[in-house]
Parts: sequence; C-alpha cells; structure tokens
Amino acid sequence: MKKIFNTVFIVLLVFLSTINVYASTNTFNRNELENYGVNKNIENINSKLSYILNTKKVDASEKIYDFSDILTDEEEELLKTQIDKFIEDNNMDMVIVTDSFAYSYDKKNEEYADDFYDYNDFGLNIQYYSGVLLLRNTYSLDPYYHMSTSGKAQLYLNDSRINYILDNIYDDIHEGRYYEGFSKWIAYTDNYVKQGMPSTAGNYYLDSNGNMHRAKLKYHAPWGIAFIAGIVVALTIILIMVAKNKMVKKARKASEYLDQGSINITKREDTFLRSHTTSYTVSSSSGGGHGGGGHSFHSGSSGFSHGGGGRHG
Amino acid sequence: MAKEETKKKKKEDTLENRCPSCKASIKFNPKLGKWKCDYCGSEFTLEEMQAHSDNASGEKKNRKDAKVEDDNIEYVEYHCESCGAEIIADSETAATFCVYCGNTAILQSKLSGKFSPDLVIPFKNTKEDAITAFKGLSKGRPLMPKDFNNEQNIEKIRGIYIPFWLFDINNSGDIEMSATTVETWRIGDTHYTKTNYYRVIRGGTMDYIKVPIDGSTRFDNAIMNTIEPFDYNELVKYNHAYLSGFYAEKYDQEAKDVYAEAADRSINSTKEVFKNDTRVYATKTIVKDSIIAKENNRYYAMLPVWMVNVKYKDKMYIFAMNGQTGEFIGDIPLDVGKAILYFILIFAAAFAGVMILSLIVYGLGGVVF
Repeated sequence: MKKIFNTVFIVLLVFLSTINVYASTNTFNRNELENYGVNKNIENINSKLSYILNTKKVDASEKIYDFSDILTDEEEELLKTQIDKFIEDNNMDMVIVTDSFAYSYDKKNEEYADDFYDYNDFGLNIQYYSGVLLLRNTYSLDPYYHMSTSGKAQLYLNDSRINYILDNIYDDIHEGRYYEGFSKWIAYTDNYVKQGMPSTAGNYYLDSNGNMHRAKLKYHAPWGIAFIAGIVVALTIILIMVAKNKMVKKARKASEYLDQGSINITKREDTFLRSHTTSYTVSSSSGGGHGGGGHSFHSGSSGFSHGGGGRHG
Repeated sequence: MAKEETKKKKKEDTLENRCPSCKASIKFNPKLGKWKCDYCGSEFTLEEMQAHSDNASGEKKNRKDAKVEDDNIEYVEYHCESCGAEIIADSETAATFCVYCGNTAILQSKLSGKFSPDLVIPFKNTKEDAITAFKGLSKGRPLMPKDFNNEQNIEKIRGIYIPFWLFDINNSGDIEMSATTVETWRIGDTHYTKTNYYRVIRGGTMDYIKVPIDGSTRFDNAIMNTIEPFDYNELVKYNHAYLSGFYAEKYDQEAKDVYAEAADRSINSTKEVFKNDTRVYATKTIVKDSIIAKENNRYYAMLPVWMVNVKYKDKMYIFAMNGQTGEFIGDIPLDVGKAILYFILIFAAAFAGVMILSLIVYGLGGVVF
C-alpha cells in the first residue's frame, strides 16, 4: 500500500513536473545567525528588521522572480539570457520581480521594489550595488509596475529616460504581454546605459555607499566682477575726493536772486500731439536649464538611495 | 620821472577817516560793525562819524562830474594825509595803505564821479577768520597735500572791497518743450510701451534782484561766483568810511560790458522755473525759447572779500573768503601719491568685499554669478 502510494506520488510528481509550465520561485528564511540574509553593508540592521523580515529572501542569481506566475519557463529562460548579457555588458545588476499585493498608496510599490533589491544580494559584488529592478504588481484591483534604479544606474537613468522607458512598455505590460514588455524594458535600459550618462548626471554624485547626492554647484570666483566693482568704487570715491579739492565753479544761473513773489506764469499750454506704442514678447518659462532632466531620488528603508518611477496599468 | 617811461604819475587827493575825538587815524572794525580808534579806544557809529567830522561825508563833496582820465596813466601818485608821504598806486586801486605810516589811503578820484559806489556791504569777518578758514581746509579733504594749509604758506592776505555790478533784471517770454509720458502694461507674455508726445508751452514774467557780477578783470569771475551769495540785507548806502582798514578796487569793466553775463544767468534760471512748472512728464526738452531780459536797475556796490594768496612748492594758489558770510573757496592741489594710495586701498577693499560676499552667498547655497 505504501509502495503504491509512493508510486502514485512519484507518478504524480513526474506528471506535475511535465504539465506545470510555470516554474516555482524558491524563497528562504531569514534568521539572525545569517544576519537575516543581508550581506550588504547596511548599518544598524536591527532598526530595519521589520522591513527586512517583510522582504522575501531569494537566490540573487536567478534574476527573475515570478511570484505572480505570469511568465512561462521558456520566457523566463529567454529573459534570463537577455538579463545575463545586460549584466555582463554593463557591469550592473538587473532584476525582474512579479508579485501581487494590495497597496493603499503608490509608494508601497516603490518600497517593495527598493527593499527587494536592497535586502537581497543584488549588485553585491558590483560597485555601489549598481543595478536596475522592474517590479510588476499584478494586484487585480489596481495593477502597477515600478522601475527602481540603484547605485550608478541612478546616474545613467534620469527622470526623462525612466519616463520614456515606462511609457514605451505600458501597452505590453497593461495588456499582459509580459514577455514583450520585459524584453523591451531590458532593451531600452541597455540602450540608455550604453549611451552613457546624460549631461544632467554632472549635477549629481554618488558617495562611497552609492547614495546619490545633488552636487553642489562649483564655485566660480567672480574675478571679473570684483575687478570691475573695485575700479568703479575706487574711481567714484576718488572723484568725490577730487571734487572736494576743486571748489571754484562758474555760476550759470541766478536762482538765488529770483524774487519768488514776482513769478507770474501767464501761459500754460500742454498739447497732446501723438502716441506711439511698441511691444515685445518674452517667451516665458523656457528657462530653467534641465527641464525634465533631473534625477529624482529617495532613500529606501535600507538607507540606500534609489531613483525610479512607476505607472498604474 | 624818466621820460622814457610810458608810465606817468599824477598827483591826487586822498580821503582819510579820523577819530572824531582825538583826530587820530581810525579804522572800521568788522566785528563791531563800528569804527574804533586804536589810540583813544572810542567807538563810533556811522552817524557819529558823519556828525563829528567831514570824514564820512567827504565823499559827498566828490565831484559828480566824471573826471577825464588819461588812458596812459597806469600809476598814480597820492599824498598821504597822515604823514605826508607820497603813495604810488596803480590805476585800479581805490583804497590802499601808506607804505610809511600804514594808514588807509582812500583815493578820492577812484571813488567819485562815475566811480562813486552806490552801495556797500561792510566787512563782517577778519583776517584771523580767513586764516582759520584756510587752516580748516584739510577737514574732509583727504587728497590735500600735507602741510598745504600751513599758515606759513600764506604769502599775502588782504581784505578788499571788490567792485561789483548788481543788476535788477526782469525776464519775460516763453519756452516750448517737447515732452513725453510713458505707459507700460502687459498682456500675457507681451509687454507694451506707449509713449505720448506733447508740446508744452510755459510763459510769463519774473524779476531778479541784484544779480552780482564783479566789475574788475583782476579778479577771476569764477572765484567771485563761488563766494556768492552775499546777504543783501546788510547792503547799505556807500560811505567811504567803511573802506578804512581795507583795500579797495575800482571797476575796470563797465556795467554794459558785464550785463550779458547777468542776463544769461537770469534767463537760465527762468527756463528752469518754466520747465519745472509742468505736471509729471517722463522727459522734457526745451526746443524753443524767447525769453528777453530787461535791465531794470543797476547798482555799483563794494562787496567785501578776503583774498588769500598761497605759495606752495613754488606755485601760487588763490583763495577767497566772502568777507560777509565767511564762505572760503579756492582750488586745492591734489596729492597724486595720496590719490594713488587711496585708489589702491579702496580698490582692494571693494575687490575683497565682492569676493567675500560671493563666498557667503555660495556658502548659503545661493546662485553664484
């Protein structure tokens, strides 16, 4: 009986493994001895424990974590090949994660994405833990997708690039063509990284922990202005001093001798002749320099900074 | 006198003021506004002077008929009433001092006839006041050479009654101005500027009282302009007694020759009065004027001026002080070394100031240039 049961179980297992096209995703426990599965240099782990324990621990080498089971194994394999190439070409990690969870505010998606990246070993052996992550939240009431950038990826992908990518994968993601959507996401991201950093990146820098900061504008000593101001001020004061020494002036008027009571103005005519109107147009708000070229960033619960953006749909 | 010399001498009479009580020579004291005898200490008012002697009234006896002057006369010889010595003065001098006894010699012919002054403002301040004013020049004048205002540099200091022509002038006529007003407004991003053009005419009359022009070519007109104005409330009828103790000059420019300058000054002021009698215009330019100056009256007045001649580093500088108001003026040389030093210091301070300011602004996170 037991043998039969075993046989049935094995058959069932074999059967299941052949008909189940969806691969399952393994998660691991986080325990204190292994520093809760956190191998990155994160300060003050204990204060972040609630976030860490709420973040799924996965094998960071898999790169695709399809908790919502929306990709076939073949699709995952194809995507994995593309991701591996991206990682190798750009020395930057790349992760796709799908999951389904309710959220009361959009930022929850961002937090999920950032924490998933930070509390797993993504980008672990890469400078600044650099990498990009795409989260698909398949929450049926309000599906969402979010792209998160970490480390150097924050410099490569500014807001306008991220918006461009998000806008161009919207149709595929929204209509459930996930493989196409994710492939495009990989391709667009790869394209931008290979293009190099946008000029706007010059206004930002990463500190040794990979956190982004807005660079302070470089101080340009105003030599020219100081020189001109010096000349003008000195000249003005010297001329005033010189005038003190030059007292003799020829009189041109006789106002002191005017008998004020004798003034009798008998003729006052003010005739309007004509008017002339000129106009000029100032094109407003074209100034500002890096319109849309900024790099928005925020700190995740881990303390690492991330860029990114998301869409409903 | 040697015949070769073109200069001729001529004997003239002098007037002198004597103390009504002791008959010594007496001088006008500017601080007291009276005559004070240095010998007996008595003080006299003008009335007392006139009542007790023929001093002050002497000028009344001056012949009113203009004496025919020989144009070749450049030096004239006078007879000092006090010591009998002969005084030689040039042809413009009206009052001087006897080089022997120091008495004031008022030269009658220079102050009579057509040279008889109508009015005088007596001196109110003294030689010491002029010296004090000269020494005070350093105040607020950092570019004055050190020691320039040293009393030692004063070569000559003289209280002189300078001949002035005073003109009462009536102005009449009008001016035409082209004037504009400007309105600006904005619709959206477009800025509009509307300029309205007007023709503005103002006309009328006004009077100027006693515009002073000095009548002696020996004194620089600009210097005399700069010590103006005198306070005409103290203008009194001329009496030669006021001249005692001071130098005096007679005019060498006729009133008609200097009138144009007075008329021009009055016309410029009239234009200004008309120009200011308008509502607010953005711009006003006089395009036409037809102001006529008419001389109503003229007076020949003796006005008190302290002339201070200063010699500094072998160069002469002339200063003048209004003998009535104490206004002390003149051009002071510049200490070029000091000027350069100040320039460098101020430049450095302003330069450093801008640099520090820019660093502060940068430090506060502001936009830097």
